[in-house]
Amino acid sequence: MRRLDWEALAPLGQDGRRTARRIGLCLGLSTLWGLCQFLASFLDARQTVLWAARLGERFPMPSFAALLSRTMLGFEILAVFLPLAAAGNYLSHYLETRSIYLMRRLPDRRDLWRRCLALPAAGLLGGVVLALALLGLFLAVYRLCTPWELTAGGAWWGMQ
Amino acid sequence: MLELKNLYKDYRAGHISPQKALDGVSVAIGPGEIVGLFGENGAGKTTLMKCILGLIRYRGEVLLDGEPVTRRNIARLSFATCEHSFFPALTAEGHRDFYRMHFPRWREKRFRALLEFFSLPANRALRHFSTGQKNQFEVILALSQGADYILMDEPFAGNDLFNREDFYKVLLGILEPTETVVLSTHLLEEVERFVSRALLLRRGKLVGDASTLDLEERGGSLTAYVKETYGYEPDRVSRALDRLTEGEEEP
Repeated sequence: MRRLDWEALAPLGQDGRRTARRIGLCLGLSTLWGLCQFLASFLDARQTVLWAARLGERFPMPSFAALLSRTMLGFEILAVFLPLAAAGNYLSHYLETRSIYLMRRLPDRRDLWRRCLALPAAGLLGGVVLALALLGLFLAVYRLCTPWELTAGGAWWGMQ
Repeated sequence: MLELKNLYKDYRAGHISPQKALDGVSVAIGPGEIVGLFGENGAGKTTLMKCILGLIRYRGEVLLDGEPVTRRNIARLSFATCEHSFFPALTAEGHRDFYRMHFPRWREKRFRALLEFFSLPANRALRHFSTGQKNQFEVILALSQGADYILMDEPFAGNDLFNREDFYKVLLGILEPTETVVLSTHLLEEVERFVSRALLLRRGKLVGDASTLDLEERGGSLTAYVKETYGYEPDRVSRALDRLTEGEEEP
């Protein structure tokens, strides 16, 4: 199997592997942040509802949508930052020299765009996949770990 | 053959009426020519080169052996610019690898020889080179790419005289008969012995086109031809000085 040439995925002179690692780290931290946020909100809400039930009070479980707030913050920041990083990659060809002249006269016209966009686009795609996976996981946790009688009739969809 | 047919280029800045950078330039440059492109600042020299390379939009036609310049034949053109088009964080070796990957006619032997001739370090990032070394490396890349038409835009700005002289000699020594150089420069007297043809631009128009051989046969020189074409007045300075001093009274 051919090894991935990280250097071909970043502007010349930049360390593609290091950039990929940084993006990976940001994705990991975003995932961790999302998990912690959701679990903290979910467990807190569940505990409150269970305590209320024990006291004979009706206190419905917050909706799934309400529990999601801020869980995707890391991915949202990445969604803003990665396009800026792609723009930065392009603009780097104007820094110190005009290497853009060389890149724009290459026989392979895709090289410039690959170097500017590949890693940020991969990061964005990875972010979307991870965010969807997290949503699925959160949904599963919400459905499986919330006693049905505690949800206010479909409240978990966020519709009271 | 590199043919430029009716090239027009306007620059617009805000609401100011468009400036004509190129105004109907038509010229054909054949294989093996060493062409000097002359003109005052803003005459359109750099714009012309950028049009040839497709780096900016223009009206008109640029043909390489009858074909428009596209990705299929653009490797036949190389470019050395005083703005530098290399990557500052990359080493000379790194550039070689990149050029070799993209330009199949890369001239390894020439690259090595020129690098050695100018004593340029192969493994130091280019941003640590001196200005002169950067210029040299820029030209080395353009010469080693394996292009048929080598465009150079003020490539020696910042190099000392001896350095430039060396380069002209090396250039004459290494160029193959089919390789064409288009050299834009202000150093008219320096390149006079070196170019085979002179193209003169003024305010975007081609105002002169002469072979240096023809000029020599007619007993003239390139410098005289350029001065004549641009309407240079030899007594301009003395007249100006006279005007400046005519009102002054003796103490």
